[in-house]
Amino acid sequence: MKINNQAVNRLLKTLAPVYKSADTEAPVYKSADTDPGQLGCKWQQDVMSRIRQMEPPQGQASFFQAVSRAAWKLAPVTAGLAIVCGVAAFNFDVVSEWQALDLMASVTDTVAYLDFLQ
Amino acid sequence: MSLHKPEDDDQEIVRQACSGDTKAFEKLLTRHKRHVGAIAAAHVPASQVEDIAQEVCIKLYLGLSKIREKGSIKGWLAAVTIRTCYDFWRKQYRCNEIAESSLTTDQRNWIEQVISDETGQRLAEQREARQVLEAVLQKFGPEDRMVMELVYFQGHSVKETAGLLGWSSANVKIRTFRARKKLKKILAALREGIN
Repeated sequence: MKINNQAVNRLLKTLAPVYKSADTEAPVYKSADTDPGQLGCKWQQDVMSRIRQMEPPQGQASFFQAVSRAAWKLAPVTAGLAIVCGVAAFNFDVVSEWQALDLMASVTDTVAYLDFLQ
Repeated sequence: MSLHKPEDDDQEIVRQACSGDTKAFEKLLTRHKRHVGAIAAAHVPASQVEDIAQEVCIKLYLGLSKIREKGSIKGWLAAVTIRTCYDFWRKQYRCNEIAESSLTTDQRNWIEQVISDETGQRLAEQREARQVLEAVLQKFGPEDRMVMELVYFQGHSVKETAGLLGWSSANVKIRTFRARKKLKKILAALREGIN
């Protein structure tokens, strides 16, 4: 048998007050030394002792912290790029050209350099 | 007449707590613990409320600087409590700690009556109503469960629900639609079991 939208609406309409009534019946908690449904003093003491063990909350991150956070965020991308560049350098034989450039920069004797190129 | 609002007080306390004043934070806790407890109690079993509220308070402490920028602490606490409850259910479902309950004949008959009967008020007061509610919610996943509770049972709008859960409105609409469809399926399966 098919269930229509009306049946679903009727069930939801009937269950909504049931759900809300469960809300209004205040449960008794372990720490409730005051009203039922109220988180008690013991609970508050537990929370505060945990809070006291923690570092004070940071207001605004310092410049150094912001930079180091950004560096860590960029680290995987940088590592990926380094690997890609390494593979490319290996495959396209850029290393020798780079050496040539290096040589060009350091050698002042143009004759020797032309000899090297030949 | 004084124009001094409690939110202004909150802002001042938050500012003090941000600078490491734990007494100021305790004041904040005393002021808002009932609010957090009430929201948590509506979404998780009573045995979990204290743990959830504690988690929310830790998040509050760690997020004090954000609150100082945003302003409203009550709204922030409501959203964080709802999300912490949602995380609780996600964990429960992931660990398969949700007991798969099958309905008794009385509960099935109760559903059958609700579907065919126009006067739901009398039926809502019966013991079976609570048991069926629990059983139906258990059959939903964590997302559908939260959407069902917030939209259908607590009467929040799609926009409000989206804000509380940190989802987009479109996502809430889709979830609501799916939850209804699932409820239809559950009802159909139950009916087949009866007939």
